[in-house]
Amino acid sequence: MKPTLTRRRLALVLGGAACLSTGRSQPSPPSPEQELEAARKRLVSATAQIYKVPLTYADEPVTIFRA
Amino acid sequence: MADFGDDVFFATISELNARLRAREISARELAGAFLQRLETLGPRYNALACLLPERALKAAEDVDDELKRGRVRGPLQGIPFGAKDLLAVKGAPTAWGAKPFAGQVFDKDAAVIRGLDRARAVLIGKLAMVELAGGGGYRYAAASVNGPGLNPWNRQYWSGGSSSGSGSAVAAGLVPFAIGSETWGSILTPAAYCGVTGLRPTYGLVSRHGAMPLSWTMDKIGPMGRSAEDCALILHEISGGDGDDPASAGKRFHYTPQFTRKIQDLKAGFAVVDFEEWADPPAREAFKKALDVLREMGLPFVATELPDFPYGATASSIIAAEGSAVFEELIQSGRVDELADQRQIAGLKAGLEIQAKDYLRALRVRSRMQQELRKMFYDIDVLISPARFGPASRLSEPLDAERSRPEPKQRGLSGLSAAGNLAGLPALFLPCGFVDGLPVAMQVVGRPFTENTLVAIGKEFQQRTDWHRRRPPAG
Repeated sequence: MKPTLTRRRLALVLGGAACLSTGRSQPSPPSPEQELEAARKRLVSATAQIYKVPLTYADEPVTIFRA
Repeated sequence: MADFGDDVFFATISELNARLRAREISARELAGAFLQRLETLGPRYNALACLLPERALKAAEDVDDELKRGRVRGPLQGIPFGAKDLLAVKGAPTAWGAKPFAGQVFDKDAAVIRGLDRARAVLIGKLAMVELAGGGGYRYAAASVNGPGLNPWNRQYWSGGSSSGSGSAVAAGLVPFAIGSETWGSILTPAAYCGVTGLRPTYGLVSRHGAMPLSWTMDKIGPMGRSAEDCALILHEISGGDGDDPASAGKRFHYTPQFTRKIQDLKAGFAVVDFEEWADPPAREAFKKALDVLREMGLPFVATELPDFPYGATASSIIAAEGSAVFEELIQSGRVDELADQRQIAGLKAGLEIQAKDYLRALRVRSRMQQELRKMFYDIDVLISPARFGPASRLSEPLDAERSRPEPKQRGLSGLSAAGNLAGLPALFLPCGFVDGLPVAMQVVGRPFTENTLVAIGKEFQQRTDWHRRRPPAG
């Protein structure tokens, strides 16, 4: 099966092509600020998923966890 | 020193124990041979954090004295082993795989090290790991003060993490067994990628006292070895209640194969979609053959799927909140910037911003997951799925790269790694084949405290296959 070209890969391919055509080096890695912003977004996205699970008042947190 | 053939370096615990008891080899000779091998080949895989020759040779000589006096203690007596660098060893550097903690030394041994000492196993070295066991979430295999974990089957590929050195050292025959730890996938991944057998015990069965905490409610310590039976023999010695670990279940694992239920009387849940769609296409044949072996063993299968929950999101939220709380001082002081992986640094910093209500929500959702998984196990004894859906990734490949294939519509048991860790369930990881020369593995997950059942399935599987006996090319 032909692999799907994801948006991320497409960006890498296009970025690479642009670099080849202009003779520039590969795109620089994200700055620490960009990394931190991306990490925050990942956590916000995870939290959003957790809030989709319906809970009742009876659902207590596992504070002292026991298997 | 005795001249050992390769067979000794790839022998099981029972095989080594038989040779020690028969006085064919001495514990000192065995420790010396493994020390030399770990020192020589360990750096080849970035597997070695710290060699412990003095401690090892002294312990081995004590074993020889005991054996001379006829004091036979058990199957681990005189067997060399390595421990993940997250475990405290008195007087030895314990860096937790991270530059900010390089040179850290504790004045006593972790509880598991003490347990193995009592069994007269011989600690020969600390093994490399991903920095802070991956807390914060890393992007590259190079996220370790010891460098990227290199896979003994092909050094262009990752050994897996975070128990990287534990996986590669066992696979390459540098230690007969190793101790690893798992919060979410850290025994599973290196066991699967390196082709060794790993056992993640039920949460609370093995004391974490003296181990680096990452997530208080999810951390587990477990064995990695040559076979399911070896893992059981090790767990037998390291399990047990411990007042120094607040999460200790106060229970002990006794390896009792004679009392285990017949495999034909068990019921295994699996999902076809795991094997036909979630698995990487080149790995599907190996997984299918492994299922065939399990069927030949008489293990009855029923189709199932995990209850619908955001397992990955919940696990990552809990680990982020707890991990950043554990390392708050490191983060606030700015020393976190000394870590090797930029994504991990950012992840730890962001984790400090998680709100109490969000963390508690994740723990409440986790309670619901546990309830639903408990119901699932009313009718099913074990769940079986690929441990990872494909073999190890290339070292240069970012670990957070998106899937190149669209996700299947059915979830099957695809979230089992996160679900099993959230619910504290035990799991056994069994090598089951190769893809382009790299190992792949199955996972068998059970109810809490059913490690004997998992080991019985693993032992029978390994009597019918030889994937766990294969040796990497350099070995």
